[in-house]
Amino acid sequence: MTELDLSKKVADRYLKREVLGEGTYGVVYKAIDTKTGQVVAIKKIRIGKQKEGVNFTALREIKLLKELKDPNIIELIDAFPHKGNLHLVFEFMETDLEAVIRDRNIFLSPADIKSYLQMTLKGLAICHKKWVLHRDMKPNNLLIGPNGQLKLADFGLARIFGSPDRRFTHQVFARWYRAPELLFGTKQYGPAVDVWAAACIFAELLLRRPFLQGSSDIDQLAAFGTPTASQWPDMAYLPDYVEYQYVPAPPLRSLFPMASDDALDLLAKMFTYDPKIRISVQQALEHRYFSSAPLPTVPDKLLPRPAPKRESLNSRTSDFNPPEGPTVLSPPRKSRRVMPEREGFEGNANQNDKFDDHVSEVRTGPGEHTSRNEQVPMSLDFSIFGARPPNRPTINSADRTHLKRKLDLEFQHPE
Amino acid sequence: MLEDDTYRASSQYRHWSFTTAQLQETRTKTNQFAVERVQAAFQRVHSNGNHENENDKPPIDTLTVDEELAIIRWGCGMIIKIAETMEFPPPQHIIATAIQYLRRFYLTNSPMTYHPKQIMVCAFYLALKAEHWYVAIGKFVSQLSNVSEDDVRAPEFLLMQGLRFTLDVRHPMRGLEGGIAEIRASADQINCLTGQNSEKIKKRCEAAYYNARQLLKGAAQMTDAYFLYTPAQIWLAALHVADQELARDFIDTTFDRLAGHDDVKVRIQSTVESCAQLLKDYKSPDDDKAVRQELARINKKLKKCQDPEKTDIVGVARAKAAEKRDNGIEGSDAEAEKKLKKRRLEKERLEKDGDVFGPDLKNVSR
Repeated sequence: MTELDLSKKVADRYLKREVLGEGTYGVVYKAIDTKTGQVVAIKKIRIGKQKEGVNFTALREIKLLKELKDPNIIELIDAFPHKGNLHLVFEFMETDLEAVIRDRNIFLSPADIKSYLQMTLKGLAICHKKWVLHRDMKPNNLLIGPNGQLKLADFGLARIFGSPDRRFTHQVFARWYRAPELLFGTKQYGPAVDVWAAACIFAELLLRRPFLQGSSDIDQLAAFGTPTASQWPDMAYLPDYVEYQYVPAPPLRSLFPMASDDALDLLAKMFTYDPKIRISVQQALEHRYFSSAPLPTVPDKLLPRPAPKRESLNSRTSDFNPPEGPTVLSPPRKSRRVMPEREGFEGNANQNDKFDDHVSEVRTGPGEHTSRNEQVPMSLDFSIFGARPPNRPTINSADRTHLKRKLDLEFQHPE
Repeated sequence: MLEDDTYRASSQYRHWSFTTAQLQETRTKTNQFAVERVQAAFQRVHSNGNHENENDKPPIDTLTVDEELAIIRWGCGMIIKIAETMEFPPPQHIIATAIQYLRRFYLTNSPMTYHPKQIMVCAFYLALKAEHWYVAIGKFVSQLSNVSEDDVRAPEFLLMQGLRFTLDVRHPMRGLEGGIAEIRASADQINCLTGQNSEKIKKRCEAAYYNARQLLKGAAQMTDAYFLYTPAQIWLAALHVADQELARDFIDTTFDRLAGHDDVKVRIQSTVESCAQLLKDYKSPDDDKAVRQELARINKKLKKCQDPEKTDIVGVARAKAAEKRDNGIEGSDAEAEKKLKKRRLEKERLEKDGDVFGPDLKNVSR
């Protein structure tokens, strides 16, 4: 069979429905697999203007997802070229964890939180077991399927680790989820960076809002109390390490008044400054938090999720049943999401300063930052009932290009 | 064994591991399809010219499986040569990835359909991208003669489909490094106890490492080693060829720790030995005039049986991009309906044809 016929046949197999979202490298469609009747999400990757052919982000994602088959990792079902574009077929996911956290109509019980965290860590454990760092853990990359299963998605920044002396870029993760070693510019790091991000997600589940919302890299560090040399002896050797005014760490209990002792103990272990001492994902899964009562909610049907949005198919019924009850506060755009959308979507005000030369930023005055904070961590600055939280920092396309070209490729060319 | 389970979950094991018989069968099938296609394509080309003596033409002399293999091996050798000419040659395992891409591609594609010279540059560049070794495409082609950016880009989808979108390749190189480090460490221990000259052992390890590495660079890439054996078996086999005693000792000491698995040990020994034989038997064409002459003969033959409808990969890729532009943006409901209908009709037609391998080449002919 010729390749042209083959790809044509594959393309014909899927029936395109509505657009679900638009990411940096292309549009995501909902589609139906005519062979199995399964609903899928198709990510169309524009190649047209790519001088280098299929771009690195897509290539990484394809390469790694083909090796990571697990109930808690998004499944790449198929891939096919069609009309000069590459199409990736993923299983269809209803919503994401960010939509769950933001939806004020949803009450998350301690058992629900435990279940979401457990699924997150299980997916991460598979990645780490196969020597893959995710490097972009955040709630809207954790997708939730029709049966309540949470799955890690968006492996565009992920990569294989484990080779000695291989240096990576520290410009990974959206800032609020960036581990302290990354904020200090380390180029040799490991799975502990994903654990820190998972801790931030855990905290976000408990608080129902982002936990460490620093407005700059150094601010991000100050938000959680200054690490001390006794807590983290190697800190001073990191490339971008600077001493700044000491902010005492607030007791965790004061930040999470409602959390159980087990939850706090696990959280503290995941939020350990020194990456060498920080708990591993496997150890975290074995923590007594997961075996003590209440046991994690069984995902299927029981886990609370945003109310399903009406789709074009049954839009007629909605005319006769005008929506009642409280309005859902979470933006519909968000909850409709099934695929990770990326950067540039949210009109991010922080985008410009995000990848600024943070060394100079630091030098302009740690005093400023701390005085602004007045010993209170940033995370406590705005009340739950106050204005909208600041826009989430993401990694935008310019940064990605920058990553790709300058930092992440083994540093093979002397600069 | 945990490591084993991890390897079994890899795409390399799931899609690209075979027995000798399976490998032979796959290649025979690929060759047969290609032969049929080439004969049909030449028929069409001739009959387009003059209708009268359409059936008088003798069938084209096509390549055999072994001849195809020789040409593919030539492509693999060329990948190594390309790497040598680069300003910053990529590390060994990336070159090996490119070679394995090429070998995997030609399990289901014949050199009669696509000549390796059309695919190898793309395989090389795809390996650079997949293994995080960034070289700008302009810079890459500037280091090659007679290759344009389009030549690198155009076969990319074709290649990725041939690879079934599995881009991860597991190599034996790092295993060898680890094994040698372990052997060295245990030798040091023995030296401490017996007071032997450790320099001698060190030198021996170094020599064995060097020779084994050469085998992994050459013989392991040029033979079917990756299809038939696991990375661990391959590096142990290379070590076995380089220094039989060291390899045996390593396996022995490993199994000393796992008492009661003697049957497994015997099996591993024999697998390693058969892989070692495969590596040992390989002869580089550079050393052998007869092989070079044979290659020249096959290439001449290939020129006459190259599928005339498949030579212009760049042109086909351009045509596809043009098709996209013509069709415009899909969106409106009416258009979607039309598409749906078209698909249904197409599907019915395909079913009626009853050909699992799709219709003939009419879609491609321009």
